[in-house]
Amino acid sequence: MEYNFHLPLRPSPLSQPEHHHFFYVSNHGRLDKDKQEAKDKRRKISQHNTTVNENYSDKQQQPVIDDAVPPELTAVLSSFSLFKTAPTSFFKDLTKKLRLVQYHPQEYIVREKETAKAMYWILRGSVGVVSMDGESIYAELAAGSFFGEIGILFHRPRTATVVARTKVLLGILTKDALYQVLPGYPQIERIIRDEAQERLAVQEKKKRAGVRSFTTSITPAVFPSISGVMASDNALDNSPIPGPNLPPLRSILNTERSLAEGHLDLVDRSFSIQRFLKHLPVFDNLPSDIIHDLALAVELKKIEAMNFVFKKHDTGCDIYFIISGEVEVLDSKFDRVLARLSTPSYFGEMSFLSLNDSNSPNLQPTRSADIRAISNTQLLVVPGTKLTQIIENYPSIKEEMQRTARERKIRNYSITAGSPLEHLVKEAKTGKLSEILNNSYDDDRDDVLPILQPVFKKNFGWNEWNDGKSNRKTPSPSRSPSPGGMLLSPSPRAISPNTSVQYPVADYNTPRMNPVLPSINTFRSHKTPTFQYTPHAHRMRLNSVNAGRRHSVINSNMGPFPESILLFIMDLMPLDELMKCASVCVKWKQLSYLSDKLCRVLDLTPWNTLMDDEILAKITKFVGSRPTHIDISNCYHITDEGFSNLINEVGIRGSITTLNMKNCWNISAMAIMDLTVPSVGHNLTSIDLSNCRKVRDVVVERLVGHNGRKNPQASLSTYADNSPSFGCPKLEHLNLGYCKYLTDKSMLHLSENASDILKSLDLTRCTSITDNGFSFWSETLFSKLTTLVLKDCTFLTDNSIISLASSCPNLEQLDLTFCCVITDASLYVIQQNFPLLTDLNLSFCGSAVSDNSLIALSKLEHLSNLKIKGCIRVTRQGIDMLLSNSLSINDLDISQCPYSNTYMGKKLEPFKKSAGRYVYLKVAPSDRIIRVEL
Amino acid sequence: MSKEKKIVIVSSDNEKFTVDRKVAEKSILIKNMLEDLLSNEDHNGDNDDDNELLRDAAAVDNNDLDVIEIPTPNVRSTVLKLIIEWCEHYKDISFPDENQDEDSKKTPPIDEWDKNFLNVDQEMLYEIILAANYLNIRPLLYSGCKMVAEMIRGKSPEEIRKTFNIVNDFSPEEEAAIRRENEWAEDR
Repeated sequence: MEYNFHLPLRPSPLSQPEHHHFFYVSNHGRLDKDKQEAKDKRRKISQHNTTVNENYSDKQQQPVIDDAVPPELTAVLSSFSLFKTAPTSFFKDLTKKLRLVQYHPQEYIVREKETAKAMYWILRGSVGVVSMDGESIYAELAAGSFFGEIGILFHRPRTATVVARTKVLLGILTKDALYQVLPGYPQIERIIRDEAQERLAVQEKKKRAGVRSFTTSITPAVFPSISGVMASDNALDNSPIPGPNLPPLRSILNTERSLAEGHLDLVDRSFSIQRFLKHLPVFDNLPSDIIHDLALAVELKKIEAMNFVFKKHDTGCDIYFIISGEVEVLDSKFDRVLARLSTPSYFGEMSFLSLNDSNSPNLQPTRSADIRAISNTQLLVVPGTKLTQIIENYPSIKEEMQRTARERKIRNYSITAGSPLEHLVKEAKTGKLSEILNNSYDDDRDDVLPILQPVFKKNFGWNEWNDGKSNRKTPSPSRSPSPGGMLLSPSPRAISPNTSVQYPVADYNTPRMNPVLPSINTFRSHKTPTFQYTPHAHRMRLNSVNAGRRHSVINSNMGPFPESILLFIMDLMPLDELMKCASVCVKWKQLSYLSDKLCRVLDLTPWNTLMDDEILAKITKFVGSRPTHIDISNCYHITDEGFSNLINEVGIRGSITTLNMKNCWNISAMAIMDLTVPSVGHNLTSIDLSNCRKVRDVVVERLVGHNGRKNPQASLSTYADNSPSFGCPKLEHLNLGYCKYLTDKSMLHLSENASDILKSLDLTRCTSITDNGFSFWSETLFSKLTTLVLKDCTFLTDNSIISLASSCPNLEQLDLTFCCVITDASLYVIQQNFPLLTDLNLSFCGSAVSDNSLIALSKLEHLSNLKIKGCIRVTRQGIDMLLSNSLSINDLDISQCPYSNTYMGKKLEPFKKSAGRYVYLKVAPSDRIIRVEL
Repeated sequence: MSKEKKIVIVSSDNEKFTVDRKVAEKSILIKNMLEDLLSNEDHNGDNDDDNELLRDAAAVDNNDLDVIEIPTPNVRSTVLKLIIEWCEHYKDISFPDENQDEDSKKTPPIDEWDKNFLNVDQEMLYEIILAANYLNIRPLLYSGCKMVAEMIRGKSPEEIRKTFNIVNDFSPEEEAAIRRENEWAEDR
């Protein structure tokens, strides 16, 4: 709508003197001047609203009419690879909401720690992701990239500072606008959310790891090329900017590289793990949701040249994919190189396969060779445990890996047995990658090549060629068979002479997770715990806890109990005590932070008034992904920030089964929808959203998802063909009480998609839901629904009850308190159609409950608990009939029924209260005792 | 099975306690052992069982048909005496199945009788817990651990260290860091 040329959300440069500091210390001599210019220009813009003598200004000056989306803009947007599949209507919607803003070189666009209000698409030009002081450049983003999405999707402050590198045109999409546009385009939303979640997951993992040498980063050289894939690639060349006297981007990157590397771990903005995984030949045929799932589990890892990734006989079964750089496979004993690998090869599959060997699963697989980085190498670590789950469904991956492994074994064997690595060295010197790919592998390896060939698009330019000299010794011939290790890479590169040998990084003496139990436990009725492979994330956590100590030292200092008993004790402690115990000693910290036996239930209700985002963040960090049951009910100080952090952190493992967030009314619909990402919500069975006031229809839609079978909506809507899956397929208990913004739309969605899973539904005081909503239900069978609460749904009439009659035949509990409009007719319907009903609450349904309808109810064979509190038409006559006819009632509430002591117009002696408000009656025909509340 | 057998439990210091089978079977360890043993006996006990304990017990069994002797090499007689006292007290109460689902999160408070019973000095409490763990007597282990959890409640980390004789092996920075993370749990 607005193409006004104005500059919102931007800190006034005048009010922030610290900018000057940056400019003074920076090396770019002209910056101060540039800035002054920029300031002047901006003033011009804001004061006079004049043109800015740039290409865009004309267009932006024109008042924009609703439908007239400038075709140029649409063209730019549609060239973004992200939007390749989007329909034109999406561009129309998006461009309507998008506000175009131009920034001058060196202007700040977002600053770290600011509140996030919008996300940004780069339409023209490029921006730099920099450290807070602007000294280090983490990344360059070019046209087609987006940034700032983490902030608004996960409601957290900006995670980095972004500064305009060239003159840059941004499309700004505010939080609200994003929220308006995206629901219509689930696929796009999915892409954005997935990517954001992945970026966030990586960031969080890295933050938590906290070990410098472990922290990962992407070498800056990677950035331009990757974003090139997303972008229309013209951005880099297309910067004919007068003004800034900056060196070309690549040279900036080179000069700043050394500086940047130390800090890179915080940001890796433009690298999409998902995209990388998708491009890997092995994962070629995985659907995108599996890829996403995988992407959440992986870790990035950076290995400096000559450091070992792992050594022979290390245990572990993670698989490593090379993103950039090169590694070599070594046979340490004889100092020979078995192979060298670069992107997109992977290694580590041998021990992974031995873990999954169906014949003789080796639960403690060891590495079959050393892997050492040749250059600074960026690795993507796929946890073996995760992959194991996936290959169950996609055996082709396993087959492919097995094939690779077999080939590699043969190859390794032939290398160690005979022809040494002159072969390799020769390859290394031959130069061109393509040559090697085409020619230099001999006959028997032909079938491996497809696996190893890089299938990346050209602009994944990781294979930059860099001929070096080989200074390796020619290995002495030996007979050592040691089959193992990995196959060589398609792009060998020699080790440069000046790289010095460093010995393995300390991080790899991975702790043993299952220390030998004390001898007291050796009897056979005690199951010895089976060895469990330590997931990588867990190990990273552990590492940050241990801080490189020796285990013997830690384990000897843990008090009088063996680990199993200590865990038992810890399990009995409330959370605050447990967190306190973490500061007793290292071993206790280790156990309390890491043991899977603890923190399965996260119940914060004892501290509900104390709980705010800050404390919640600490608790989240403590419990990690362990909880399966979360109860944050009444923690009403929690906002989106804390909640999103909690859900995304705990949810990474996808094991949340119940979530009670009653009365957490600050949490927005958008944040709640974090739950509906399949990897997070696929085990969720129960959620209590009562009095989460910001819940809208879309939340219900997301939570429930589309079950795909009978879904006219999805097939109508935009491009749902390979419609992304979201939602919680196991959801059984849904409490939406007091979500008064829910409309009939939710009812429609429930009937279409949740009818076969819901067991209980609470719609207390959902006053916007009408009879119409229930009419959607009438043709759907909710076969499992046993509990329905419609308390305070005061507008519902008999029609709703009639609709329910056909849809919920198995109802056992029904609460109609304060459904004042329903009449006697409803009760007949209930009696006829809900034969299994055991609990019925008709309090204050004055117009429905009469003596006659009570007689009808007495025919319900299983009805044991009936509440007719405040039903003024009820007299003793009806009560007598009910009690003497029903054979099942044993609890009856007739409090506030003014005529309950009147029999055919005559006043009777009231019931004598025997125990508090209750009277226990013995009913003559069946001699049953019935408790009656008066 | 002929008639009810007497079980003799032998402590590490060779003191013998004779108990009813019902009492002894409060220990799942002993219960399983007896089941194995007696079913073996049906097959004339010639299954080659590699469990030493079982063979020991079976050997005794052959000598004296009415008595089964079970050694508990990890439990001192003073502790064993208390354990047996506990088992006697609960011999007629059956506890809910052990492998109940983990969702039953609410941990019940300690039984009053247990509380009094476990009101012993720390060393003894620890030994009872270890023995209960070894003999696999879940309810006793539960009560014992609950007692320890109670001991920890309200104590500062320093006090906890003192109680359990643990050395503070954090570096000062680490300790400060972890304190900061968990401070909400401590100062209230």
